[in-house]
Amino acid sequence: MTLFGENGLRRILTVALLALLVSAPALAGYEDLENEVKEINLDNGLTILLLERHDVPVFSFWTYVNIGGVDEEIGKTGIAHMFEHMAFKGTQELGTFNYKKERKVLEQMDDVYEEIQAEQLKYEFADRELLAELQAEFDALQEEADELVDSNAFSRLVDSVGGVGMNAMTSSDATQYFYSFPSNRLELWAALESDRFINPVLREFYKERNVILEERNMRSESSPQGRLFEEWMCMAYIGHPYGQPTIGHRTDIEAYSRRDALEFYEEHYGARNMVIAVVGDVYYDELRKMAGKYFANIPPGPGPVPVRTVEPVQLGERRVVIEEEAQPLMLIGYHMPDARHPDAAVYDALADILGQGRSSRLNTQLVKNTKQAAFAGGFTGLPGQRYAGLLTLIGVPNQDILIEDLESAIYDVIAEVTPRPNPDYTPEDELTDVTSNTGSSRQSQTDAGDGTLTSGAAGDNSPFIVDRPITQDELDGYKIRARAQFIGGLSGNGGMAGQLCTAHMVYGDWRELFRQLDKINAVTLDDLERVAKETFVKKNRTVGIIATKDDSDR
Amino acid sequence: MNAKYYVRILGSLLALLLLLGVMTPDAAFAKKNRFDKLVENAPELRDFQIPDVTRMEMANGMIVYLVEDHDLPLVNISVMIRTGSMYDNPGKVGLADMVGTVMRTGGTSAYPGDELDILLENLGAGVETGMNATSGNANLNCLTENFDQILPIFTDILRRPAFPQEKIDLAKTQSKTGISRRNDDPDGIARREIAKLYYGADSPYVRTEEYDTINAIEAADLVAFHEYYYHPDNMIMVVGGDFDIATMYAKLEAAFGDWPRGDTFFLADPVLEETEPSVNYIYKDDVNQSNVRMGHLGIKWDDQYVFPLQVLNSILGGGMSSRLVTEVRTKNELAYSAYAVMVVGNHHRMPFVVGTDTKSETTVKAIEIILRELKKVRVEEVTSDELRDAKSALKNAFVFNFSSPYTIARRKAQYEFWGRDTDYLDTYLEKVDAVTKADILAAAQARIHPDQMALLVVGRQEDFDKPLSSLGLGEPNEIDITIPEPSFVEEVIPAATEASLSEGLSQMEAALTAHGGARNLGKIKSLQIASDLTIQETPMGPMTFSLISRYRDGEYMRVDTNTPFGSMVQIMTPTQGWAQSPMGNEEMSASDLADAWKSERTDLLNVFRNIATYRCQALGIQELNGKECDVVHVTDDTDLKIKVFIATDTHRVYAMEYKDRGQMGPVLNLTVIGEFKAVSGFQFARNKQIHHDGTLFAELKVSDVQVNPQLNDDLFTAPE
Repeated sequence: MTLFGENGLRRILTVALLALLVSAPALAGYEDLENEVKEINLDNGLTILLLERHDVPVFSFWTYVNIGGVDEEIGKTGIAHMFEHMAFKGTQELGTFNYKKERKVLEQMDDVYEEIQAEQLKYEFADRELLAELQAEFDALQEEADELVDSNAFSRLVDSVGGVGMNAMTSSDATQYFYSFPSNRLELWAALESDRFINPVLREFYKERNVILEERNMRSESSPQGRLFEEWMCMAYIGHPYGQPTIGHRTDIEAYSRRDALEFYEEHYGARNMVIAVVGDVYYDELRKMAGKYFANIPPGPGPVPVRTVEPVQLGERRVVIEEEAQPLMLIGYHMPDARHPDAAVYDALADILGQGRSSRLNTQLVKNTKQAAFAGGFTGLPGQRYAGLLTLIGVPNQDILIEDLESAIYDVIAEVTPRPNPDYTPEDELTDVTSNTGSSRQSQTDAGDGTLTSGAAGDNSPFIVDRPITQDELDGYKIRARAQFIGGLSGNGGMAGQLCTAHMVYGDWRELFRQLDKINAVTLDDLERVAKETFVKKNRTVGIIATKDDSDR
Repeated sequence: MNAKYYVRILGSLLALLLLLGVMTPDAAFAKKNRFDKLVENAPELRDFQIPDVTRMEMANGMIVYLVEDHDLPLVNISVMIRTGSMYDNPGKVGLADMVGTVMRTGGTSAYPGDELDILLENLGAGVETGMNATSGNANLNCLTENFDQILPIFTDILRRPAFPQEKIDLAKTQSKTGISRRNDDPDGIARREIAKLYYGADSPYVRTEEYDTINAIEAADLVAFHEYYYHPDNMIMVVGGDFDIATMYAKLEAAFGDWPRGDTFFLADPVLEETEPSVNYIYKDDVNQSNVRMGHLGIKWDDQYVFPLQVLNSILGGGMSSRLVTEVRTKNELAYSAYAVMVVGNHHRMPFVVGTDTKSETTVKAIEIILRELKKVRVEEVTSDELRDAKSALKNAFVFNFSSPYTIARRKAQYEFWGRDTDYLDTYLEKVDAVTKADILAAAQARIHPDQMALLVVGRQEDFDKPLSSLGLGEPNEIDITIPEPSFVEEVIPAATEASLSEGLSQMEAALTAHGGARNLGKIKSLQIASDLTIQETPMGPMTFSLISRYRDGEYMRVDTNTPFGSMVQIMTPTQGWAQSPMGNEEMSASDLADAWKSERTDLLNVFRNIATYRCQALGIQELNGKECDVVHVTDDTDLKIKVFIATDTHRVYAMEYKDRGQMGPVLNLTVIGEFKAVSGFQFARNKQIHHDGTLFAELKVSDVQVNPQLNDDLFTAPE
């Protein structure tokens, strides 16, 4: 069911390319939007947000569950994504011809599956005959269960009353469910959406596992970029679960059971880990009524349980080169802090100025000037925002450009904005001649600086120098662009709902969405240099490369 | 447009529908639950105001649709231009796309592209241009406050693009990179190749660009393409946002009103040939899943079955609850996605597209299930439940057609652009509602032909559950997707005459004499030459390698190369060859060895040695780099072709030109030789400048030539 769930490379490339091609429009007076957002807080801990827009009788909603791949344990990777698929399979009332009977059969299946798994995990000592018997028993139960299932009842119902854009996605951080309805379907929506998390029935589970394996084949295993992405991400994290593939390792998918998924649901899902936003032709009083009648019944569940592991500081460059029957491509990830860190906006600015849009440093230098790259860009947000992520650069070399040359060209572009030790530096107390003839320090930087500059241009007597520092014009351009893009993202109903939810869960308060621009506007050139200096060091990076397979080079 | 009318229709249809739903026998199967009750008890969809869209036409024929939307301080423009890659000359496929790209990247002389990049991005504004198969497009989006600044840019780009050579070159580089990458991803291969199967590989709707077609494109082609198609009477503009229509129209008229009409003559649309029924297969080694695609040409918007087929789409394979998803994904767990959709064409008939991605081991099983479902809709009516749900879905989602004023205006403009009925939506609900089970069956029988489909599988045949031939649709045809190398553009040499042959031979003989004569040449049994080779364009800039080359008896050869990465040795004997490098030793394959010896034929000494057996055709006098030369075309019975330039003053060879192998494929090698110095009575060049396709590729400086040195056998044996 995931349209773009696994943060696959295709998605990144698309996002990066879109960002390159599309400059989103801006709107003034967005500040008013903040005052228009209404909040409903239920006793079970659920927050529902509403932004009324009554132009057209439609509304969009977004259900954001603060549970993703990062909350999975080893051996059960992919289970959050599996639950997402299960949330389309109906409930005790929907999708079944006889729930009582069905429940019994499903539980029998669970029992048999446990026996099968126990035997299978003996590997070569497993009793083949016993396994065959158990499998036959299991298949018979599956058939029995199938008889009782009204397949795809949920999506059929949503479609038939005019639901559009129904989908869901699972990422490392979260599981998100969404679609849009004509506004006369508010109550039906409230009933369906709450029931989904109150009485889910994990039916057709073992069949859906095979569907997910096909999804995995498609996204990861049959695509060179998908294979690289998984290798690279696993390598970038040695301790923190951010490295785990959200779709799950193949053998985990093949092994997890319906009981595993139920356990995961009970352990993590619940009103306290959810936020819902509704944007469109819905009135506050109406929604309040629906909230009380339907959503108040979602069990509170546990609150957020943060991951304890903090990714250890990286000690040396990590590098993987996979040989493929495909043209070369490269991913470079630099560890960076989480979205709540005071420097988060600085990283966003740095990634944007270096790697977003036609006028970015990487595009200007490598695509336009040297023509080494078909694409060169960078962005933040992978694999998520809740925990320390990666500032990611992508390089796609032009035909006949060696990948290693593009790689060093990328480092050159980064090095130009990164302070490096000044080889000519003489400490102040050793300077006997007071009248230095080295000229003034960087004009553009001192303009905005706060007097704490530690680096200057070549020729300055500063301990660090920057060869081609980011200019105030570049930073100002980014700030205007960021505002335009931020506001543009608020215009559609679905997009607005999604952003409200994400901000509420990532920052703990949806209002933070409207504070982001303040943080961006506070970024200084000094911040950019300081962060570049901390971040762009060899030992902080993880490099993943697709090299074209060369049969003569065995 | 009357909103109340729609809503009333919607409401009454809904009521009727629910009534039918309750009465149909299929519906009694599932017990009614509280959700069904909520469906029944839902209030009527409330009334809403559909915004007015204004259509204007300028004196020069430019049509503008305008709609106000004051929610946000934004202006959006999109322009559709009557052109497209379908008009590309077959030898220059990629031209139209390049026009779409370089209009924006190159900008205009007043607004060069690179300056625009900065200007627009620093305002958070966008101006983009592009090209599709059957239309071109240009878009603008910006804050209202910046509109007056952006409009002149947008106007200039549409009317006066500069097409600078530098950006054309960049676009060519990127196109070629795209070509080189097009077989990387199985999904991309499937998408491209099934389109060729639907329409025929040469159809202007689906042709693909190649190195040759990109190489053939020149700046003048882009200029001419733009001049031919980009005229005000060939485009429709849609403007939406925060403005007053009268003021906006005045601005647009000031910007575009003096643009003269073009009265472009449009070639007739390509004749569509029905899809050739076939089973096709593309081998991809590095996958565990098969990309299955099938279908045939389908319908255009004016097809008589367009409504029944749209209802059928959602029943058969257009959504999560469709038959195909239910059968292939939900019940048989064979795939993540499965679809069968009759696409409605605006310009021409689009295909009936069917596909799924399934693991290699269930390839044929999945195809069989799909074929079964496709056949079924031709013989059995859909069920009442299916009809009810599908119609209800289309009608209930109808309101989303009006989700923004700009969407509404754009749709109207598109209908006019494609010549579609402008009242399509006015009668939509009635027409959907009128569709019956019998209509759908008739439509399926008339428009869906499982036995007339092209079928394509991209995957690993050895892992399939059954051979594709077991489908009974014929023997699979393997499609070769090897990317064609750029072809070498051969100069047309006039036919040789007896006179030109004897003149050529005497010119070559004179040259041999000027170099020292056949006698001295004959004395050279072995050679040792020390030189420095500077390769100009390496990723690290120019790099110099020192070489020692040794030749013996024309049958043994050895080159020792010193590189910054270590030394390399290449050894060739008549039957064997080896390469030794820091990466290890490698024996040359027989074909590599033959190729290497073949390329030695272009060595000047070897040419002189074989004058008697070659054909030497005089081509007349030609000036090269200001040097007057006799040109002789030297050929033999194989593929040897060398143009030898002999200086008319000294009679020494000044340059040689021949087809060579470059890093990227064939190149034209022009080697200019000079600084002669005699050793043992024979003139050896001390300097060679090697050009590839007109660019200096490398320079060779010879520091020492030894004639007949002692070269022992051990120099020409396999390295340790």
